[in-house]
Amino acid sequence: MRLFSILILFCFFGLISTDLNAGDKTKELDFARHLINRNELNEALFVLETIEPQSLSMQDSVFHLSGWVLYRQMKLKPSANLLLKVSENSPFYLKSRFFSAYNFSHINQAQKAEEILYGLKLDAKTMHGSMQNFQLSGLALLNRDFDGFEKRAEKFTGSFHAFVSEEKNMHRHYQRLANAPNRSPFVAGLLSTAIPGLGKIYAGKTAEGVVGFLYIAAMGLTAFDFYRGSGPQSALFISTASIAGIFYIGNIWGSVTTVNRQNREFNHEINQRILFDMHIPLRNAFN
Amino acid sequence: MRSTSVFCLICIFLCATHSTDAASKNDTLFQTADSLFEAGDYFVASIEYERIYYFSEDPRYRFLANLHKARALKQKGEFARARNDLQRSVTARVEEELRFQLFYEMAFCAYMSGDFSDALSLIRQIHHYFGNHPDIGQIYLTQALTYLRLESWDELRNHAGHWVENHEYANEKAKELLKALSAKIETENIPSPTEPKKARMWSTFLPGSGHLYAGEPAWGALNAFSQAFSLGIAGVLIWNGFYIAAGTGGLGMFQSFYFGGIRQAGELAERNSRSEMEQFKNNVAHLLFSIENALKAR
Repeated sequence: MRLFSILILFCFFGLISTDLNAGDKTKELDFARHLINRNELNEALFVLETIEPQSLSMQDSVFHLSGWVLYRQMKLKPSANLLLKVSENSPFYLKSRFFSAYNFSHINQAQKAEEILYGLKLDAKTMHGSMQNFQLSGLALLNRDFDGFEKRAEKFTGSFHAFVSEEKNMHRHYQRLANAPNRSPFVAGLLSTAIPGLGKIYAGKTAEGVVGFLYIAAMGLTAFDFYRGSGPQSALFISTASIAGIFYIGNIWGSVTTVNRQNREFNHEINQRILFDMHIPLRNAFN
Repeated sequence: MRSTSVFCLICIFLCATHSTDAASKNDTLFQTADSLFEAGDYFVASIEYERIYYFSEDPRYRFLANLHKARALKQKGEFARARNDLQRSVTARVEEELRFQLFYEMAFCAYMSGDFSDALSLIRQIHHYFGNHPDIGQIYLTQALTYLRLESWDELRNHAGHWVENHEYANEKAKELLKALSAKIETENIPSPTEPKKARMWSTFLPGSGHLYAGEPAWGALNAFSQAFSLGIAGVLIWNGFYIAAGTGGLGMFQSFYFGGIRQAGELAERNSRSEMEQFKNNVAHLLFSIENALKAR
């Protein structure tokens, strides 16, 4: 009986010690989480890199946490790739997929993001299913696929608190994009050829246009004054007229580039807003 | 009965082993972290100290780990982070010596991170809680530097006098340096700040004078000459009947130099005032370090 008790006890503690290694790894994961919560992201990444996962679930946790740290550090591509490695059985699977897709959207890889989202088999009536539809609608807007957006927007439920206001915002972005003035650089150039600065006003930069006009008018008048007083052969006329001419041509070129710049700025601004509104629901739903 | 006793004994033995294990594990972790610190790997050392802080249940180990981690962070130049981390241990119940070290490190890190008000507040707490501590002198240099950075000249003067005269190794050299310091921070020797608003005002009414006020006579002369030159061009053009060109070229140039001169005078006044005060503070800081060295030399 005595020997039996001793045997049982030693077996019990033996089992504990064999499990200690796995327990240590779990503790390391807890420690990594602690570092992430303290915003010590480089340190957390270092700890995560040293963990050798002993099970699939642990491996998933490592991929998920590493991807999360990289996401917080705005290293979106490596983050997206790590999050993609989280297996389907993991409790972090959905979150990882959604964030991975979002990261790809942010780095202009909308197609990759779409593939990830289409790969999710979700019931459209659930919150995650609606979220999938919402993210795809955002991607459609980023791709300027208005038909695609309209189809997705029809399925907006307006019933999930996590993204009800973002659904409305997405409609607003769509309206802004659909009503955006389609300014042509060619027209801007033509307008500035006719009246200096008018092309910039057409591009939406009224102040720049007025200032440009005043400068060129002043230089033109100066050249005219020298022409009137000294004749066309005078050095003063030739030099001021040349400078005025250079500024005139520069103003035309400036108007062309201003339209391109305005278009670029508009697209960038609205893309940022779309991405922001795609991002908020993810944080609401998964944090 | 006998088997129960054996059972209990085994349990006691294993529990005791486990509790001593915890302490020895902490020691081992500390040794690892310390060796990393000694080897200059401050990044990994800081992680190892944090690990002890996180896993250890012994408040003293946690306190020490936090203190050591702050030292590793100091080596990395992350003073603000070290200051914030140290705050975690403020309420820990440990011996006074350790608490003194904690407050000293917090004050030092606050100073180094540029939060001088926080540094001063912590220094005052050190005086309040540890006024009779044998190593209280450690804080004197940081205190003087904090007064300097806060431009609290009277406090600096009084503190420096107290520091040197009450020091057990106060020597002639230190006293001479103290005199030099007192003379240096006399009110009339402290650079008075040049006001950008005043510089702009001067330049509005007398071109170039704002630059002169800002301590940049060459820029002032150049600006005044440029304005005069552009007015001269306008005059010549008018004289020759080029009225439009006089307006656009001559007067256009003049307004650029005139308004540009006003703006530049303000910017120069601000920049020079800042750099002059910075230079002055650096010279005073140099004197304070010399006093510290003289006192250490005994």
